[in-house]
Amino acid sequence: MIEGKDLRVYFKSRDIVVKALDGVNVSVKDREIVGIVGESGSGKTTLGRTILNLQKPLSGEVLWNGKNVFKLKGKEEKEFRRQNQIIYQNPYEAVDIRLKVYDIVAEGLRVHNIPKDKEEESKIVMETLRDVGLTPEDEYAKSLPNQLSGGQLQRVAIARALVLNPSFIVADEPVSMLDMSIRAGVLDIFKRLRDERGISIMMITHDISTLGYVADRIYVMYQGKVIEHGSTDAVLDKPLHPYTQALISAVPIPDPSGRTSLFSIKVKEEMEPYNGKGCRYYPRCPFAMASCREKEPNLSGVSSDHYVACFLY
Amino acid sequence: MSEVIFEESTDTLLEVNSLKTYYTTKTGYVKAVDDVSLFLDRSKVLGVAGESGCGKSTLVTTIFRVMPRNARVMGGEVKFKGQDLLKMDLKTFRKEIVWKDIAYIPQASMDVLDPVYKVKDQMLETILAHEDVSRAEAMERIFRTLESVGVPQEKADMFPHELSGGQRQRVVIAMALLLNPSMIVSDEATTALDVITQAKILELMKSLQESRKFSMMFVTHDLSLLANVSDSIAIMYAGKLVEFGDVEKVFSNPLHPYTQLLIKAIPDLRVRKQKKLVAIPGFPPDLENPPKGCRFAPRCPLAMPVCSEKEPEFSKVEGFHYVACHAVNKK
Repeated sequence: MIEGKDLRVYFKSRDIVVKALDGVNVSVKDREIVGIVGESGSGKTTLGRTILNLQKPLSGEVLWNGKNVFKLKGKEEKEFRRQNQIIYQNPYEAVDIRLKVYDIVAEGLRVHNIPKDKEEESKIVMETLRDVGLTPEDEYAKSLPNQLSGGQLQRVAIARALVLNPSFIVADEPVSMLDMSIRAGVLDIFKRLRDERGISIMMITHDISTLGYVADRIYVMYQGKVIEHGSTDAVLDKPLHPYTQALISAVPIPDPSGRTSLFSIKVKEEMEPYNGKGCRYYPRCPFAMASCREKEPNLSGVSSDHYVACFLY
Repeated sequence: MSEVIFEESTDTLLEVNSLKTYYTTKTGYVKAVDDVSLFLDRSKVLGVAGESGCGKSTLVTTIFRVMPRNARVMGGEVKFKGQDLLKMDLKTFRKEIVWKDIAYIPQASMDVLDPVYKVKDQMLETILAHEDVSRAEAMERIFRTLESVGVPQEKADMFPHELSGGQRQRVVIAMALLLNPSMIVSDEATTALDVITQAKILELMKSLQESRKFSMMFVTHDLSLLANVSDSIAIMYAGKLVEFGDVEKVFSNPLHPYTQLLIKAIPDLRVRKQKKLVAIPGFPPDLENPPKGCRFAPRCPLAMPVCSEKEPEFSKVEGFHYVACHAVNKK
């Protein structure tokens, strides 16, 4: 469906070059939720933006149904923009606070000249608001963003992406601003979109535990590289990379009786700076060997649905 | 209303008694904290949890007397070491209590450092404003405290932007520790951090709390964190305390339907295949016109007719475990 090949995005800040994406391969198939997980600075947001042609890469290509998206022009580019949508982490910053919910959602429809008349526009908008659980929809349509809670506004942001009937959505930390108690409701919307409408979703997050409930496959990123990827079951049940293991063990367990064994994470505080040639994770890795300092490991398959970049395997 | 709970306290440090903090608006009052009572013992950790808008941050700003202008305390008291903080002269309160005896680790705390001052200068200011010590003595203490939170001494000479998010968080924790307070209040202190950093910061806070024996009030919307750090838990909903008790009791036998749902909403990788993640339907009520009776009734799966008529009493269940729910009280 959509595929990124050997993507490289470097940012220059004075004389420092930050490799936000350093040779990343990623694919999202039809009817699939793919999770991208990593800490801040791992390049996960840059990946989402590059896939949607919001960031031009230094090299590499993104194929959308076989076409290179960086070469799309005119009508084709507009169609790409309609079919591929993004949802941001902070809905308060993502919507125009002066517009009513109705207009926020309808704006995209107008840009793409989709509805024939006002009546059809209203029908599509109302249906979409119902779809994301904002009922009674005519009440919500009239509200302004400052009258809504974060969870309600995030649903508006989803409705805005959905109204254009996209085939692919990048959701960048869609629930991390929301209360725990309403996250499941928003995650359920994404699952429904996949199951009922066949929409593919790339969900970007720093919290691997939410992916356990929605993703079909997971990519783990560290400093601009994919260091492990595979089916959700493979990655979560048998995490191989020491970084993935640390990510999973850092998820707080909601059970006070197991307290003594908590925080079993083995991560070193980064003491030595990265030497520029070894594995990016070796300064923090508790299992680092001499070879890890010399050469970067490549992704290699341990099974048909599980890949890891680590010399331990 | 719920003075009974104070019987559970063995070595009280903080006692919040029937506190009411309302915000005035054009049309009336927003009852953000409405008749809340709770306590915190010495060397213990109290977790306060609830959704956004439940009043947990208002509770914190009331204790520190840094409420927004339109907020007013309409009743109740906040007793700290037996003294009502709300009745103290504000100047004395700021000089003698804030930082010195109660310190605060705020939300998004890595952004609270002043970007134009070096770490050591900000810390120095905190010490010198409250204590009469020499510069050299103060610097000595700064280095020692930074060391204890795992920040190398040489970072004291840096500006906040030269540190990573986790390190800035550690510096803020160090600042809270500088004057050796008996209580630290942390308001969503780890919420903006990466999971690994969050786990390490929690581990650090817990081990400092255990070794230095201060009390901690840990406010968060994430109940799973509380399972790992707190001794007692207070669950707030729409300005009311709905459940309060020993951490083990609340987690192993949550009684209020709201607490039960909150716990079911936590993603737990150990049981992700068996357990479905639950969302609490609906949204919290408008606190200007809260629903009659139990405020959770409109969202509650167990609501009975009485729930929208009468407010449930806060009552003891068994040992240190209290709940305000008609469905539980009936049994």
